[in-house]
Amino acid sequence: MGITLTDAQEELRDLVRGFLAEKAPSEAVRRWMDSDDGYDPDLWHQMARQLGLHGLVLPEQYGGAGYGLPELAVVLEEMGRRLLPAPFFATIALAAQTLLASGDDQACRRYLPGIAEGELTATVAVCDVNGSWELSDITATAQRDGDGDWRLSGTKMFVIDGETADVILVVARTGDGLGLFAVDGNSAGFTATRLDALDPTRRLARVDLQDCQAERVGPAGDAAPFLRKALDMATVALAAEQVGGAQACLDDAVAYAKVRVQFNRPIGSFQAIKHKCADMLLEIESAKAAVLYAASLTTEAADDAPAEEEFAICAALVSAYCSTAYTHAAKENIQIHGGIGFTWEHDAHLYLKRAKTSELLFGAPAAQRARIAELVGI
Amino acid sequence: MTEVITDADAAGARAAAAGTDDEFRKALRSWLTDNHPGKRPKDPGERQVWQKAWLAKLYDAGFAGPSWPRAYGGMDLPFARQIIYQEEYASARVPGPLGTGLGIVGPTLITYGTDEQKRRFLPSMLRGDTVWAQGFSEPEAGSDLPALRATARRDGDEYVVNGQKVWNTSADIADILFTLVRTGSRESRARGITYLLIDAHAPGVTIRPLRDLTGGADFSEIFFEGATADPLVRDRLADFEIRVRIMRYQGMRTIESILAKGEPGPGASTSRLFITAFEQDLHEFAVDLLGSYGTLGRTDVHSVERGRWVWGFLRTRASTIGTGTSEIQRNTIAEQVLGLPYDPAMPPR
Repeated sequence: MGITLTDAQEELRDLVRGFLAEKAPSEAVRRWMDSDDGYDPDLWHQMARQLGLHGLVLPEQYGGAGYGLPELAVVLEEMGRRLLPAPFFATIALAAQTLLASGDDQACRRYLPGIAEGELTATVAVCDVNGSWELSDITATAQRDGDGDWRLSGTKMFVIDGETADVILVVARTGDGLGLFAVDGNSAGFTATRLDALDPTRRLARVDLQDCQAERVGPAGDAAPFLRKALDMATVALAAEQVGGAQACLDDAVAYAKVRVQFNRPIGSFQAIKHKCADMLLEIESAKAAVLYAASLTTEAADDAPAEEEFAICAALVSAYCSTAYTHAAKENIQIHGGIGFTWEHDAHLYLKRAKTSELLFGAPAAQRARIAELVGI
Repeated sequence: MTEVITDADAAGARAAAAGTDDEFRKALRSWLTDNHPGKRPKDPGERQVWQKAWLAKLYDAGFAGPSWPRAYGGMDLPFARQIIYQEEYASARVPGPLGTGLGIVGPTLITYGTDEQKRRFLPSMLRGDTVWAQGFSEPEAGSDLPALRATARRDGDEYVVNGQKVWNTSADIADILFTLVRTGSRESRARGITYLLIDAHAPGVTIRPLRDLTGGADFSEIFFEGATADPLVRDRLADFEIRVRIMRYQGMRTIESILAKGEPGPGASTSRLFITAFEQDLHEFAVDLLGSYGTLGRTDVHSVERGRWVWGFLRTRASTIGTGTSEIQRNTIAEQVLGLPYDPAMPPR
């Protein structure tokens, strides 16, 4: 089943945790979040080359190590714990997984080796101005010009790390359903503008496409089925990151409750605080089990209809549950810290902002619950 | 020193107060409408000047301090009239007081101050000429306020104060700080605490603005605007409607209880828990309704209503912390309203 970590996965976890504890302390995270690029290119290359994190879950024929979503979940949980600002989620969990889901060998050969080496960053642009993550709501268009080249028009919002990405995979409507298109970040007719994101540790961009030249990725015909699967994979990956963030909030709250003395005793000795912490643990442990189960589904080589539906249900429930659990943990962490938790200097607010923003990307919990209701026939 | 207004200065206000409740309401409403200071300046410095000008105008016209004695520039209205005043003042959307003195140290001075203190401090506080800020909480004394450590030592005619205070709303613009300091031993807890007024501009006083998790500081307000609603949204909106109404009923009940029995009754003690949970839930629900746009901050051109709901979501985290956490409030209600036993492990009060 793979619902507990293997020894190798635990080793990977400890490796990444130790690395980030040393290289990405809070002061560094705050420095990077205020920097131009929003992340540290040196650390980025170290993660790719020394640790091999970028290629970890890419197939061997594209320069990767051939692991899967469970290992990616382990890595992202640790990054979420540290609020690491880096285009790792966008490049690996979103763009690389989408390329793989497309089954387009040529595109994979073109982009994935560069991604594995840390030389190329990428992202996927899904939402239009309407802000909807429903594939049926996409209005950006792709048309062939006189030379037979694809040209994209439209505006994409909430593109994760869209301003710094070398390659942007754009979802656009063709005469024949949805298509996925690769756009070079320096193309004529392509403009990426940084949005003022609530979460300062993850960059979001608006992308304007004006008759912008693009390469089609994936087979002819409607791309919706593989896009849906790719988004579900990204949703589960994001949930792993959310679990890491929630765990950091709980750890921080518990540590503070042990040392903060009011009324001559640690506040953690009060039942009001104990119950909050116990409730957070309950939700986080439940969330972990759900993420591990969902990730394990992708390693069993069954791509028949029932297995696909099981994964879709799982992705939606994992997203709804982990989103809610993280936001709850982030709010309780502030409450348990009291006044100090409301300051700019304390990291508690960075977790709340990451939690709330993650909750609203890829479809909010209410939308995910609606999807579950539909899939299970409620 | 701020001049105490005379009846001649405030003829309109005095005449309004002499009429029926309804006439009073109408007179106040039309004065507030006619004298509305217009749009709030964005620049903090300009905003302070604008707000001070308004407070002075209000005071000079005799429409300041509904509950305060006339001798110190107030209106000395009966309780029912104070309610009318607050309703009209709130719906006129005119600026509120500067600093936090008016509702906290003001009534304390009125009740316990010497005549000289009252003459010296109250009129200028009411007119906005001096801005007051509270200095109670400390890094190690939040919920447990009697644990505060800042000390004051008597030296001739003066007190010499040492220590640190936090969470001092408006302290960056304050002229006078009203503080709680320790003059007794640490073990004396609440008995060893003295209430001191400190000149905020005095040498040795350093005030730094505290950047909170919203990235700044501001006021928040609550109202509904028509959201198109699916069944789930309708259900939540209906729940908020219910809670708004209950808050109003509870407020009415408290007011009636004060009028009839001179006491607010047990419902008043729970209303803050009710309101703080409400404002947190309301703002978070609004952010959820924004969907993807809820991920944007205040300065983005795409942010909805200039990010007021997202900002409110952050700002209302303080609602269950400031002026006593919700946990402490529940303890107080359990012990003082319900009469449950004190925790024997807690220090004496």
